[in-house]
Amino acid sequence: MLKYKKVSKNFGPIKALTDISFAVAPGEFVFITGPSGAGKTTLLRLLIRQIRPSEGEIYFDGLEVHNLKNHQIPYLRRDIGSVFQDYRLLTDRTIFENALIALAVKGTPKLERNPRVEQVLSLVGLSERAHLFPSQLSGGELQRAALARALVVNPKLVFADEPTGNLDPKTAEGIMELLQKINEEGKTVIITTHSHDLVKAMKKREIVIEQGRLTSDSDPKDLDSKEDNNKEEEDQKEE
Amino acid sequence: MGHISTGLQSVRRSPFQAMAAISVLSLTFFVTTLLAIVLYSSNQVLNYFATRPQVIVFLQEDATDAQRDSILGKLTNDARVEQVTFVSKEEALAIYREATADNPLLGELVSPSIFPASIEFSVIDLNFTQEIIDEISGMEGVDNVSFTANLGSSSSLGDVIERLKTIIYYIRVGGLVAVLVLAATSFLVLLVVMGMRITMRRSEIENLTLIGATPWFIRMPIIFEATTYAVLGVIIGWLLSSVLVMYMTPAILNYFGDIPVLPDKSTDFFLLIGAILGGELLVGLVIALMGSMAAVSRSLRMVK
Repeated sequence: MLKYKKVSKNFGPIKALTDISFAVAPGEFVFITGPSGAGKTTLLRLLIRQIRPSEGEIYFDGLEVHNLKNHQIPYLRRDIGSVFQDYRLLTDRTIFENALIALAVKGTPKLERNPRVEQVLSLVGLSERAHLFPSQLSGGELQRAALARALVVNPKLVFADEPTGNLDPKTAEGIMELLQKINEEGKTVIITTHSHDLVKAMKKREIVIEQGRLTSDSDPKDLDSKEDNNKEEEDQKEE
Repeated sequence: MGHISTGLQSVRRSPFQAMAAISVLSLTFFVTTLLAIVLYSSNQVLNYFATRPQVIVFLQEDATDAQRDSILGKLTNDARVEQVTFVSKEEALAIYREATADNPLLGELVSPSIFPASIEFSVIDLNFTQEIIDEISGMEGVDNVSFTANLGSSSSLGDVIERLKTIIYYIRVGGLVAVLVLAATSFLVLLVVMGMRITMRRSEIENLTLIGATPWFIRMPIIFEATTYAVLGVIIGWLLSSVLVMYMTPAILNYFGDIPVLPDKSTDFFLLIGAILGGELLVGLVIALMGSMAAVSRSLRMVK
């Protein structure tokens, strides 16, 4: 579904990403971790063609993202549910309207819009807050609202950039549960985070990026088996 | 929330910018409407003089019917000539009596015999006048041939028409310059107002672009807003000038007398100002489209 092939991105003399390659299969749940400034957000920006790669290729759902023409970019973005670190909600519109406009952008028939928005707001637990403005919501609620806007268009992929970055642990846990639920319903989910605790708790595939380079790409099943092997070896030594 | 409500919301949020745009557009179309009516009237004046009998052939006292018919026949069959009319002695007297109706005694003192019969006609182009006069002058039964009148300091009706043409030319050029300057000002004001709107909506435009909005989705509310200003400006400007012209119509018609500077029938008058409104709406829409597109295209280039 998604493939980064030897992708590099330079901002002038600064190398934000170097030779990144990985693939994500449909229905997968993937964490991209790394310290702040490692280049995680750049991956999202490259995927939605906010910026072009300096080198390499990006493929999404059969599209050559790196070669897309400007007029094709909006259609790519409609298939990717992007949840931005700073939410990117329209401040002068209610949460309901924020989700509604995403459907208008996609060209969903008017009659179908309201029920769909209600359904998604219910899913993220914001039905009661639907007619409030972003300034009237808490950080966790804003994150849910951003998620609702991303989900309402029924995207092929949900890419959430640091969705728990500014949240307290309990709220962060709630958001992660929500994303897991979305994944269980069949959506491909990619989450960037610098919280290792969160990743460990979820036991999902983790791609680690440090200083713009991919340093590890681990499948949790492999990790589990490695951990089991290590334990067995240690037990044998003790015996 | 549709494009129309987004556009209207934008108008409500910054009423003074909206008022500035509408005021300038109203002024532009107020002047344009007045100018269009002035041009119509001046063309009517020109047409009035141009279609008046420009040449009169006075027949000799003893001219026979055959000679008269010969002259009439020649003129009627001449492609350079139009509106040929024979005025008998009796008709000439009747015209004289009508003209001197204020003093009936003058009419009583004359008899048809002192008025010569005449043939009046117009030429399709004033350049043909002299050659036609020369041709007719030599025909039997013709006493003399001349222009109908000397008006003001002009030596002939042709001079009057030429002077009118010159005046109308200056009205057209001056009016066109005035309208172009006002239209350019309107365009710039619209550009500035729309530019401010886009600056205010910059983050919204960025966010919409990130979730897949096409450039047209972003342009539509801005174009709608500019169109609203243009339509309101046209209607206000047109309405004010139309009311002004309607208010002044009796005085104008009285001043110009027989010259139909404005349509005498209400339906014709409303057709005229309706046509002007239609044309102005078209121009207003073009200004709105160009202004808003120019303002938005720069902004979209900067947002990726």
